[in-house]
Amino acid sequence: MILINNKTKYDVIVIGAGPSGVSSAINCAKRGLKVLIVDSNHEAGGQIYRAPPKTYKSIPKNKLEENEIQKKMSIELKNYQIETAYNHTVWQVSPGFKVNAFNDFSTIQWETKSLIIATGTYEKIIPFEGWTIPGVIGLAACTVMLKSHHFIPSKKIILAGNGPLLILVAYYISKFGGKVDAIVDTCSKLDWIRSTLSLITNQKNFNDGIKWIFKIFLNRIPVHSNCKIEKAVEVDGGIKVKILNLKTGEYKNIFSETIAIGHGLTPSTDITRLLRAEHIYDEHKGGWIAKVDRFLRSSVNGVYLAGDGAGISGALAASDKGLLASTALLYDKKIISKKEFDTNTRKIKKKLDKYEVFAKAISKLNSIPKKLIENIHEDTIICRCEDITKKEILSAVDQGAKDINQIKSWTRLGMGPCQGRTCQYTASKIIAEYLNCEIENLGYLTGRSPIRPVPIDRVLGDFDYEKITKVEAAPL
Amino acid sequence: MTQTDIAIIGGGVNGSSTGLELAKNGLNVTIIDKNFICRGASGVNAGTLTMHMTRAQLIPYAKKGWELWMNTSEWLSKEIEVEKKNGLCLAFTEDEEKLLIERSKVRKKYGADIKVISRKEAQRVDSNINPNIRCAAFCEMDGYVSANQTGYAYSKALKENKVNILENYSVSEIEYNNNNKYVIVFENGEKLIASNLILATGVNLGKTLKFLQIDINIKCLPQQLIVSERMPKIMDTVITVANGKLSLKQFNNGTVLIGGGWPGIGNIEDNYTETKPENLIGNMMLACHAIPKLKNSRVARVWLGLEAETDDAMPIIGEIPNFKNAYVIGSIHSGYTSGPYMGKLLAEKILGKDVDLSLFDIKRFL
Amino acid sequence: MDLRVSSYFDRSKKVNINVNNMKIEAYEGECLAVVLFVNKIKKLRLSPKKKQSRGMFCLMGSCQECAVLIDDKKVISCNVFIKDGMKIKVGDFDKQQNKI
Repeated sequence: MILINNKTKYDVIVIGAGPSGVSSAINCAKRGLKVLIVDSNHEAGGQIYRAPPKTYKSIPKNKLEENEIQKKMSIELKNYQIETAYNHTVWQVSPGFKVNAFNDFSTIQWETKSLIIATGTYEKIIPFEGWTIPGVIGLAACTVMLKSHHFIPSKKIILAGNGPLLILVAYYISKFGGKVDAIVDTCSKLDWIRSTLSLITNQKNFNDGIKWIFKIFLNRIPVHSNCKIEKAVEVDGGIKVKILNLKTGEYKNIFSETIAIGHGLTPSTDITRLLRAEHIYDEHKGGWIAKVDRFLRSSVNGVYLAGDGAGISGALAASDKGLLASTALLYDKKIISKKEFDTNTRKIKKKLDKYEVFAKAISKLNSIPKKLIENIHEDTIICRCEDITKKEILSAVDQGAKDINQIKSWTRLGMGPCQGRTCQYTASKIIAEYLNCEIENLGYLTGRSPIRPVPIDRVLGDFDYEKITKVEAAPL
Repeated sequence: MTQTDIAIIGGGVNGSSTGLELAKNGLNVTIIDKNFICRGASGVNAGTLTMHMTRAQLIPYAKKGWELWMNTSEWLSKEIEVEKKNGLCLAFTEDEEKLLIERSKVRKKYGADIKVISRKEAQRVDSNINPNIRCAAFCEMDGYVSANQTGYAYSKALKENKVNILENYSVSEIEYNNNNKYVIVFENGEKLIASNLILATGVNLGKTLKFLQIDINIKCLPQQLIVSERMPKIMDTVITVANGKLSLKQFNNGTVLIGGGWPGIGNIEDNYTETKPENLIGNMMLACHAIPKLKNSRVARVWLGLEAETDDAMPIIGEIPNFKNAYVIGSIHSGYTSGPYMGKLLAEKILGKDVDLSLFDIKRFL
Repeated sequence: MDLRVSSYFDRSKKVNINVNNMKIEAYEGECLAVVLFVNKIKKLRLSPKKKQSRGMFCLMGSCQECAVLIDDKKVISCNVFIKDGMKIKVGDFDKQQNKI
């Protein structure tokens, strides 16, 4: 039976090797704890500092800042002798805790008494008619393609949605020789100007933003503010897009090869939902998030949340959040004194409070105007995995389905391979808008194992029929 | 305080089938469920409709239940996915072959049309099975229903027949008042008066019976189920194995459902369930051994259902002694097949027809 | 125009992969989902009910849309890295695997 049971008892298992996972792992290792860090990528870095493929060789005279940060993270993990399980996809976490993951060959199980969940976020994408056409990709997907894989998706591209990724992607596409045919932003230019006062509190990110916006001006990229994509159709050579101005009601047709769209980030709650932790709904933090106390302890004893998984605060705050969560863990395990706990957490929280101003401004830019949801055509596919349209969802509501789990049961929404990660946010918004109720009333999809589809061959390997665990036969 | 002729506590297949039949006969029925109806075991079941895994003594009932399921468009819904399929029960070893012959013989005695066939014959029935079987038991009266659709189907049918459905209502007390009526008190303070009471709370029946001071052991068996992603067609039958620990079927949408009673972890106190990876793997190994092409797929979801079982693994259906007009229905082991028929039987008994439920008498535990 | 950005990293050796019996050039270790996308092989599979074309979407291992067949097994291409001689099938999986 292929279920490698790694007998090592880890003091802490950190799930996710992004900035918050790495900083919490190091903080724990510094105090002598036996730490394992798990990530589905082949290297530390998370999404924001995602390492390029193993085969890529860095050109010495043209180093990328993010790559240097990523390499440093990797080296530090080694220096503190933190065990790393890269290329491992976690598919189940059970209480107590047992972490199950699979890699290219088999499944493996680890045990620990403390968990730090640093699994980051997903991108929120509000659908429009035709968003399932191949060639329509996420804005975050585009970012990863540019900054980790070092490709531009096509010669020409339209960027849509809202928030800082719009200008980041516009910058890099232009820098790398591509052409941004248009930016379709649900925000107004005034929204951006108004956020300047808050964004400037984070000097580095602000300067980057100015640099990006400048390039947009320089390249004369058309910016359609207050606009959303209403419909996309496949045409010869690319995708034709009909955009709607949410303020004036005017329509415009534009055309390009690729459409990249994104409306901000939402925390990953796969594991916390699986562990039946309490969750609260906070639109500014990205949607449903695990409920945490001031020190990032979840409602489940021994489970701590680090990074954006505890609410979107951005990359810079991630590291410090990892520190905060791990400090709470160290105190709970009686490794540090109350005095040290108080002193350290006070320092960290002061820094985090500063990041909050910046984070709030970003979340405002990522806000979803009501019209964006109302305006979704009823034939638009909402659940991509199961081809469920807005019409079908609302029909189930009309038949009496009262919460998101009942919708799932009746329509199959969220029963596909992505388990609702892509569609839950929009489906909830659509239903809440239809019923004129609070999103909280609809609940969230019950966490189910496996949180990623498990290739059956990894689980089986070569087996002997006789060796299959003998279970008591059913009664006659 | 509202009144009703019949109050049914528990809106799963058992309670809902009983209620539907009573309502069709003109009675005023209220179904109460602490959740949405058919969200307990009834909604997460493997939905296998088979004689192979049904307990021998329950075969006559399962046959009638199977026929009802095949005719759901007449009494339940046109929209629920029910498929008739050939059922193959496989034996891989000599011991299993003996077990298979014995189990088939007993079931045949009780009326199931099961015959033991050779490997070649079995391959003709379904060419996808592992060619290394020794023999198989074959039955035409087999198939499946898509369990997660039952809630929707029953909801509609019950409403059409004017049944009151009280969902998300938890019972805190049951009193028997001076007017020979049952007063059901809910946790939210509301009350319901019923002339007749039916307890159909599935795996919680032990708790519910205590409201009437009846103490019976109802075992909670947390059963794991696995579903694969959509696949091209890789099987055409419902597959089980000789020791009864596998059920395997492919739905019209291409997903493959693997069940068979491999336990996970679960309890009724807090309704908590958790997957046991070792049993997950064992179950999958058995499934892939039966249908090798399954190895190419990915596991999409795993979940658990809490199955009820009495100490002798036979149902309890019928009158509750010492309580007038109070009835119970539940713990029908591997009971998805016979559920609708059992509900019909109990309804007929309540309506005064001559129905023999002595095999399921709750008195045997008191 | 090569959509590769070579300012910061050198790729490894050039290799060939086979997509539906079509030869595609790529560099060893590159991400399969990205290589398919930039080679304009954007339609990877069909959606379950409506049978509409689907392809790479999130590139983060979340959406599961970029699934392809390698050795008759469904894998998400954003998690697969190019190796010389890799054989990939895209398209209507049902038709391709319908030899029972």
